[in-house]
Amino acid sequence: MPRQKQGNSRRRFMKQAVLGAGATAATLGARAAGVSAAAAEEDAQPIRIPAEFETAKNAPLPEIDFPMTGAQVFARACKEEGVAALFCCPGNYSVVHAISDVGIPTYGGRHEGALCHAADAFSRVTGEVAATSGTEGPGFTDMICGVAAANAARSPILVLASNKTIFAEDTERGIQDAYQQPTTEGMRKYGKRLITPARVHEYAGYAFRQLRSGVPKPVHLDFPAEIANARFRDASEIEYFYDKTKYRTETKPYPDPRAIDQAVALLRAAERPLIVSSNGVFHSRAWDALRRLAERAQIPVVESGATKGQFPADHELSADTAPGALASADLVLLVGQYCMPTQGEFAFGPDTKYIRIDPAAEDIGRNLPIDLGIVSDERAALEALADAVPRLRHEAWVAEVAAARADFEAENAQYYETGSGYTDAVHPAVIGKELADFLHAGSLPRDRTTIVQGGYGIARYTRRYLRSFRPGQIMNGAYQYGAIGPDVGYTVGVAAAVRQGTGPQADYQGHPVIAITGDAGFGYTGMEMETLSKYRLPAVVIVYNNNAWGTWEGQRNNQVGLPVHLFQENLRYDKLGEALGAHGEYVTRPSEFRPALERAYQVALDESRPSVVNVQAKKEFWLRDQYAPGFLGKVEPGVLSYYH
Amino acid sequence: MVADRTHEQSPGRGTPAPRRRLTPEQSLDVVRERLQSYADRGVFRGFSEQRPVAGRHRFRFSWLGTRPLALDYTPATGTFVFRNLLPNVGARTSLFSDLQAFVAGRASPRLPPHRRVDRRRTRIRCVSARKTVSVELVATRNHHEYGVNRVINLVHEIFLYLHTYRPEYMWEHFDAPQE
Repeated sequence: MPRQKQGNSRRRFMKQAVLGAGATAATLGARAAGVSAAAAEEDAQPIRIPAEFETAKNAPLPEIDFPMTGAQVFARACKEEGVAALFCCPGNYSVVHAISDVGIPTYGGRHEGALCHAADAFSRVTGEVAATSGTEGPGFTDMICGVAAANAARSPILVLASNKTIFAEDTERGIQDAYQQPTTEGMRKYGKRLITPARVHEYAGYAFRQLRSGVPKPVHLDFPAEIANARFRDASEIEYFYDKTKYRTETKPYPDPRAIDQAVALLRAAERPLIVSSNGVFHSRAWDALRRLAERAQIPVVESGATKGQFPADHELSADTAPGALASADLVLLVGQYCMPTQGEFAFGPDTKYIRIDPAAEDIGRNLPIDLGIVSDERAALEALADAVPRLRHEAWVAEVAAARADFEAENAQYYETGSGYTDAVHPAVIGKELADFLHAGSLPRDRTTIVQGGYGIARYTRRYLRSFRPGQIMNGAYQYGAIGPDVGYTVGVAAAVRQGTGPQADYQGHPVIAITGDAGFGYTGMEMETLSKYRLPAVVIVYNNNAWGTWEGQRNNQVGLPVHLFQENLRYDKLGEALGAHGEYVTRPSEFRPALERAYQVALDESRPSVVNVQAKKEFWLRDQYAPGFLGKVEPGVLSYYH
Repeated sequence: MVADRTHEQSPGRGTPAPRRRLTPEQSLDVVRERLQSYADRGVFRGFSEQRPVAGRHRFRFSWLGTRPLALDYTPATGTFVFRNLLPNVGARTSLFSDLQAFVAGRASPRLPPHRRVDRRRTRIRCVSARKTVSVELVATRNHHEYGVNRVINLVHEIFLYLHTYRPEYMWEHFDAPQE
């Protein structure tokens, strides 16, 4: 922590006074703030990372063996199950420290909710289990939005929280009492308050059976003190204390051969088949089988889901940027589409037939009518189909998809040309196009950079330009739950995943990541810039600053209520970033964006330090009649999708 | 099954085949059967047919969103009308102009045949009355089965268009999420 000078100098008095005067008089405030800022600048010592960080990095892991605490028994299970990271705030100390002591990378941040989002993001770009933790009561309830978002995204996160003692239940003895399990009902796959100390390892088994099988979702365990602090002299005092190979299986459900035959028959009869590759393809690491099937039967592939990149955008069979072709498909294979759209939410027409491949039989047939359901692990089904299907050709269909891609790119080019013409602020098309050029068409290998695709209105532009070329390249921020604000929290998780080189991020280990967010979103988790900075996670966070919530457009004629949807104009999120240890850039004209982006990226490379690139826009860009093309709609699935 | 299907072709493919003239009752059966098949497949929800009024048969169902839709079919003229499909669209608005252009464009030869509305077999238009848009398709030369397929697909295309280019309209009138 930077030390502050103590004492009552005149300068310090002025600074305090101006802070106290606050927002009452804008003009005076601005002038006085100048004095205050100068004073603070002179007084301040440089921001620095405490030496304890380096010490912790180099410290040997403690030897842990019996006698062990309940927290240690649980932490050992987490280690053996391959939990890849823990994101937390202080609290639930016994469990958090035990997990850290077994060598699971542990990141501490500013807000449990943001760190829960970080765990979700980590899982979304790695497919691995990440844990998140908070203290009982307030810390836990801070996590709720993150748990719900992870549930909607089908992320296998392990939600841990301490609880007070079972002994004191219902008494309100002390503080922070809360019933946790009812709170996460409906937003988890499994949850349990641990009651019996001897069953702590057994319940680790319950948790990992759920996390490692079927459709992934959060698992929530809460640890009363009697459990976390229980002491076991040896293994004989613990129920079901045996290896994971004895309490769960790695085998997967394989498809019924008759169903594969039926699927092949449908594929042979189809003129315009299409594969929708979604969450399940990523989680079952089925991208090689997906590609083999697509190429063998010449079937275009479009993506949906919380993570993009199972099928490369530059493949001739990619329909990810061909929204205009989707309604032509006469047969659609929905593969691992856990979050099902209803009629009309995907672009497919009323005559389209559907095959759905999903490990959960109980979900097949929900929302969209099926012509064939295949209960199977996604990779197993895609491999079986790739083996069984004859070589098929759909040249006319592939040409139609290519034409639709060209139409989409032409439309994007037109938006960029129009947007570049607005020079008094930065139009979102400029950000989307120039960011994509930097990442995909410049000196960087286009598959290198992992992207947090966040924001609301800005995302409707940037999704049009950004592409994914390998698994786990784009994390689809607001996917399904639609939370506005997790983006900087997500960035912590994605940057940690890339830093560690976990799962599909292995080949990109250590490279900078890019995040896009809005000014509304930045307000929720912007303090995590400090987390990025203190762990030296190289992330460039682009803030689309249009002085308003995304809801502004729909309320613009509501004179009385409109201020609810507005912020002060020209806020300096870059300065906020600087104050938290990040590099800051403020961009007010289109021509400044690319150079600022390059400087921020260079800081990430040279110093492994995050940046805030605050891009000044204006809310009126959403008005189509004044600033065409205005607020954009979307077509799903494909690059534009984020509902399903 | 009343229609002679030996001459029926996939929508939009090839030269329109001559159609055997169907009685109004026969063409109604064809249309009813096609619509029922959408309901049987789970595309339409809450499908029902109302008593005819002045030779016009009304089918009601939910499909794209939660708002119930009404499709009127007049066998004698081969006319399909999605009546009052789009609320609050004045005849002099840019939205209506865009919709007219979009609907007219569905007959463009630039579109692949399976997406096109064949002018040789149908006439299509959208009309605004009392700030409400209806979509009309007239099946010519007895192409009733083709007509019912095309008018359903045309409405699907209109909704896609609105989701893509007029999201705010869908928020305001079709309960589409603003977020």
